[in-house]
Amino acid sequence: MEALATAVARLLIRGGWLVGLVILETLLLTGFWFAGPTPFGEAFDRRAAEADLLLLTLTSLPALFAGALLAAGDREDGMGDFYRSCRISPEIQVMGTLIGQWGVMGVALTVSLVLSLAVATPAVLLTGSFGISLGLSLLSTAVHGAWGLVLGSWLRSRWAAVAGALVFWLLTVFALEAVVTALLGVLPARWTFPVLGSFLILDPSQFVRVSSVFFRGQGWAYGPAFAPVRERLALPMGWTIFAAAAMLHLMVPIFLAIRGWKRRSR
Amino acid sequence: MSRRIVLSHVTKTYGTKRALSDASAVWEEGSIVALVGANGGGKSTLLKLLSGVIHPDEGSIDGLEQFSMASMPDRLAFSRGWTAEDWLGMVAKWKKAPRSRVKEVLSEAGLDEARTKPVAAFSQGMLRRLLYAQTRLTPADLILLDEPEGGLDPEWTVRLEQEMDRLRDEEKTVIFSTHWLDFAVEKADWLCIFAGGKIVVQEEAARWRLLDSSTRRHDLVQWIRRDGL
Repeated sequence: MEALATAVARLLIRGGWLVGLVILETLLLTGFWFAGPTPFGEAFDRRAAEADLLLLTLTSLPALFAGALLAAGDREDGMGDFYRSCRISPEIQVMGTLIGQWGVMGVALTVSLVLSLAVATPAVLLTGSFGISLGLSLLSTAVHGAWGLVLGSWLRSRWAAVAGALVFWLLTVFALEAVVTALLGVLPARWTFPVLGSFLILDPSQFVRVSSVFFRGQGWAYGPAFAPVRERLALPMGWTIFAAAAMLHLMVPIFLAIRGWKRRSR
Repeated sequence: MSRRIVLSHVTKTYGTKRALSDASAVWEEGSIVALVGANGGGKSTLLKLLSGVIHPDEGSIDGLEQFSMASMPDRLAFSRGWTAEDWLGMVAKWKKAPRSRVKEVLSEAGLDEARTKPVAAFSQGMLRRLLYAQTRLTPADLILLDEPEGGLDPEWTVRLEQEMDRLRDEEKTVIFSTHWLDFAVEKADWLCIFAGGKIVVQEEAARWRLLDSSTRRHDLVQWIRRDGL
């Protein structure tokens, strides 16, 4: 697994992903930090929500594309077949690819986040909310990278995988939110918690977003229906629940990607 | 008792297309087997089945577990980031070959100077040599080669013939597919002719050596036409 992860990381570095992402993310983040008040304060305001969305976009879309292209590329190029002939199991293929990809994208994100904040507002680097944002962004990179591998391993070609990644991204980051918001407007009040709760927990993008809000102690933003959740998350058990949910968000796409790889050897 | 590879009524279907149908054969350890025939005849499918890339829908392949295997695929496209040295380094780790072996096999394949260049820029012949080189990283006693001669220049074609002689001297079991009938007849013990996803002829290559090159090709085409259509 280590050999494959190293090879994937090298591929992405040589392919320009690392440098490209560092430049792009640093520029975007620096621009955002300079464009208004720092969003890393105590309050969860509009700026904080925008910062979360920006970080989510920067972590989800490139990770989805990279995962989809790596998996679909391995199949189209015959490299996947070669791995199998070397007795490399689908589990190792998927995990090695994911770790290599996550390593490069995680480094790119960390470097650009630290660089941009060091330029714009260095004091934020020492705050807890910066740590929360960075940690959740790294989680988002891993989860979306894994979903990219799912799309790449199940869809027929590179182009289909890229298109699938784009649709997945639009759906999970924007479209589902619009649908759920519209639904909540017409559903009876007692449906608010189950509908909104399911959406926030099951949609990987929203899971990262909502975790960020709750970890900052700003869960009130989701309304009174979530008061019990806020109380529970205040306890140490909240961390356990978060860790279990995060693990599920990682394991489900990893499992599906492995299934996709196995399907090819039938 | 010598080891052997036994194919029993092996069938493989892709969607609605039957790529290999009811293939049966017994190959003894140390045999050199050439798979020849038309494109889409089932040669590459059989090699993929033998190398474990795919699994048969029906029938069985027995005896493979007794061999240590090295496999050369027919097709492998490399992303821009790969160099020959990096890629072989990764394969060497998987095969638990010493790092020093990477340089040795690159040298054997005449790729010393190209070792740090992108594989994506390699010529077809260089790529074939690289793919063959990875089979040499560790000692294997079953070697599967899918069209090893493709794109080789005259010098490396001669080297390939010498390589087949070496494998014979070392009593390796070799199963290779090829469109180069004379090479198959001269180097193999057994010929398997494929047509329409079936093994239509399976016989000792010795008989074919008695025929001249033109007659061999004529006979091959007759077999393919008669049983492949």
